[in-house]
Amino acid sequence: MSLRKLFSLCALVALCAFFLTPQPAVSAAEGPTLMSGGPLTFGPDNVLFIADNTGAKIVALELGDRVSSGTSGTKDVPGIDQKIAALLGTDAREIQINDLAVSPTSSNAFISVSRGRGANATPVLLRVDGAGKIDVISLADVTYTTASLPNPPDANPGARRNPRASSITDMAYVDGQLFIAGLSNEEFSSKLRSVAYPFSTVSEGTSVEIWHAAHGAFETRSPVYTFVPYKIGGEQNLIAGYLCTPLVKFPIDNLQPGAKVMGTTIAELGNRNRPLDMIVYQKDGKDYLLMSNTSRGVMKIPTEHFGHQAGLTEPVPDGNQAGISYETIAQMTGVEQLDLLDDDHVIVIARNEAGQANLEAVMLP
Amino acid sequence: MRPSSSGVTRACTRPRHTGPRTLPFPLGPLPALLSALLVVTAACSGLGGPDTGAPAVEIRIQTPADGPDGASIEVAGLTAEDLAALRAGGLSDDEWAELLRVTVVPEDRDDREDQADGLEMPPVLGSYAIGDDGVLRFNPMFPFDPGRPYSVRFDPTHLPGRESAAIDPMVAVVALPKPDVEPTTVVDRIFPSGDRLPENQLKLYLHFSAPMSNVDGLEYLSLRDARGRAVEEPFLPLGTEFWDRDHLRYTVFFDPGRVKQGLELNERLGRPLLEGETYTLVVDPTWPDAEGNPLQAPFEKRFTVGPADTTPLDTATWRLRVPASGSTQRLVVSIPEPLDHALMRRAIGVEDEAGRYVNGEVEIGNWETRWSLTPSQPWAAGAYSLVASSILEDLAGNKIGTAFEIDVFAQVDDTTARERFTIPFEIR
Repeated sequence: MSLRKLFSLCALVALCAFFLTPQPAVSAAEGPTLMSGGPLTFGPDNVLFIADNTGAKIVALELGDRVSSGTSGTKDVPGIDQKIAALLGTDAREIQINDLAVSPTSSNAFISVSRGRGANATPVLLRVDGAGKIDVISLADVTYTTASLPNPPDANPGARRNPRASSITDMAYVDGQLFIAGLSNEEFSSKLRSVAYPFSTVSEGTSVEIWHAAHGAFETRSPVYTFVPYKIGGEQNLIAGYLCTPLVKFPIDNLQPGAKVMGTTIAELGNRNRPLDMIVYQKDGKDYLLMSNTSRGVMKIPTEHFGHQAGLTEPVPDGNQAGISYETIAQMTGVEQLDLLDDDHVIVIARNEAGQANLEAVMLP
Repeated sequence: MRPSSSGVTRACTRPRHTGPRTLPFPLGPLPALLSALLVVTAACSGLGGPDTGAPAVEIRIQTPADGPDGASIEVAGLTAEDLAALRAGGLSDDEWAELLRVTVVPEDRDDREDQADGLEMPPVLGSYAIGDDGVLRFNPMFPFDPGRPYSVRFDPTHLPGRESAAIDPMVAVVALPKPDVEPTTVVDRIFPSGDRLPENQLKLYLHFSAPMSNVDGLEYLSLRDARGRAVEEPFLPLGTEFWDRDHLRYTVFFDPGRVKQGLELNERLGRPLLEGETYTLVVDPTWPDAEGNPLQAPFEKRFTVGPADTTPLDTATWRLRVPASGSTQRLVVSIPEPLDHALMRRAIGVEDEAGRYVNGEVEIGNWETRWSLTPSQPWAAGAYSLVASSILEDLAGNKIGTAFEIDVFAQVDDTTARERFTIPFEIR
C-alpha cells in the first residue's frame, strides 16, 4: 500500500434526507421549557439559538431588547464560575459552563450553564454586560420557535425507551441556514445537519453524514466537533475540526441531498488533541482562524492558503502539524470557550492553574 | 450572646463600627450539624428590644409542606412601622440585598465571609416579599441546595427611616437538612457482556441501577492490565456527552486515535488492547449518582482480548429459527459474532409482507449473539422479513457489508448506498 494511499487525507461527505422537524412558533406568554442548555449561537435579529441536548431540540430565542438592556460590551469577570455559582445559590463545582456567545448587537456575553449535576440540574442562560453585571435571562415570556432532533427511525418500535441520544457540540448560522454538529452515544459517526431559519417556513432540512479518510486508505467514520463558516474565494465553506485532528474544508453548495462530496483536509493539527471552539477574524488585512484545543493550546491559523492548499497526501510523523501552518498562542492557556468580541478582541473563558475560570477579553493575536 | 428562650434573636445595639457578628458555633463539624439545622437564629452580643428602638427579629429558613424546593428565608419580628415603611419603600433589588443579603458559604473554607480567593461574591438571586403575616421572605431564584450552608445578613440600618440608627447587622447561617442516605446505586451491567473482546473494540456501555450525576465518567474509570498497571489514555475524552437522557447508561469509546490503523497515536502507543492479554475495567465507587451519593460497591469487569475484527457483517451467516403460525413462540436469530448491544436492540426488527412492523418483546442473549422477538399477537402464516438497519455494528464498529475501516479508493461509491438489509422468511 503506497504512502499516498495510506496518508491521503480527505473527507467523504454523503447526504440523505433528514428528519429535522420545525415546530410552529409558540406564543410569548409561555416561554420555552429547556431540559438542558448547551451550545449557543446568534442568528439574525437578536435571535439566540440554544441547543437542548436532553430535550433533543434547538430553540430559537427571540431575545429582542434582552440583548441590549445592559451596558454594551463585556467586562472581564475574574472567577466567573464562582460568581455564577454564588448568584445561583450553589458551589462552583455544581456549575458547568456549556457555551459562550457574544451578541453582535450589544457585544454582551451570553453564557449557558447547568446548575447542579444531579437529578435537579437546571439550565440557565446568563448575560454579562459591559459593567460586569451578570444577569439571569428569564425565558418566561420569550417568544421562541423550536426544531426537534428526533432519533433516527427505530427498526424495533416495540423497544423500550430508546437510550440513544445526540449531543450537539457546535452550531453556526450562515445565510439563513443553521448548521449543527453532533455526536451520538451509540454510533461513532458524524452528523452535520442543516436547517433553514425561520424554522416555521421549512418542511425539512438536510442531513450530512461525514466520514473522513483522515489517515489513509482507511476510511473511517469520525465526528466533527466544531466548525465555522468561512468564504474561500467567494464560496461559502465550512471549516470543520474533526475529533481526531484534521481540519477539513468543504463547500456548503456541494452539500446537496443525494450528493457525495470529497472534503479536503487542509491541516493536520496534531494528535492527542480535540478541537473545542473556533472563530474567524481579521488582522492587518488578513484572515485568521483561532481555534482552542484540549491539549494543544490556542492555534492561530492563517486562512490565505485555504483555497489552494492541496489535500494532505504525505505521512505526518510524530503527531506534528502538516499542511497549513499554525502558530500556538502562548499567552492563551486553559481556554475553554471563546467568541469574537469586537474587531480587536476575543472574549474567552479560561481556567487558570488553580482551577478558577475567568472571563476576559484578550487582544486578537 | 443570648438567643432568647423563644428562639428570637434581638438585634444588636452595639456601635456599628464593630462590624457584623457571626454565628456562635464553628462550621467545622457542619455536616453533622446540618441535619438539625432548620431554624437558626442570629447571634449578637448585646440585647436589643423595644427600649433601644431596634427590631427584635428572628431569621430562619422555612420549608413548606410540599418539599424543600419551595424553601425561603424568613425574617420575623419586624415592627409594624418597619413593615409599613418597607411596603411603601419600593426598594430596588440592590437595596433589598443590602437589607437582607443571602450568600453561599464557600465550601472548605473557614472564614465564612462572602469572599473567595479575594473575589467578592454576589448575593444569591431571588425575590423579596412581605407576607400578610408580617414576615419578610427571601425566595431564591433556584431552590436552596439541601445541606449547603447559606449566610444571611440582615442589616436594620437599611430599613427605610433607620439609616442613622446605630444597630449592628445580624448574621446567621442557615441550611436545609440533607437526609443521610445509604448508597444504593450499583453498576447493573456492562456490555459487551462477554469476556472476550476484539483488539479493536470500539466502545463499552455501562448500565447503572439508578440515574447518575452529570459528571465526566472517565474520572471514575480505569483499565488495568494483568499486572494491575493502568493502560495509558485508552478512552476518548469527551466529558459528559455520552450519557443517555435518563443518565442510566454511559458510553465509553476507546480512543479512535489508538484504534484506527495509520494514526500516529495508534502507531506510537499501539492499540489500548493487545491480543492475548487480559484486562480489568475498574469502576471507582466514588462515582456520584444523581442524588450525590457514591456507588454502593466497586465494580470490575475482567476480559481477555482476541484478534482485531476487520470483517464486515454478513447477514448470510445469520441463522433464523422460525416459529409456527398461530403460536406466540419466539423468532430466534443467531449471529456468529457478538453485536453492539445498543444498536442490536434498536436496529433489528421484523416486517410482514405489507411492510408493517411486528410488535413484541425483544430479547438479546448469549453474549449479544442472539436476538429474539416474542410477538404480542400470534404469528399469522405468510411472508416476513427480518430487517436490519445499516447502523448495526459489531463490537469493532464493522457494519453490514462495510468494515469500520475501508479502502476509500476501492469502495468509495458503496459506503452508504443501503439503509437497510432484509432476510426473508416464511411462517407456516
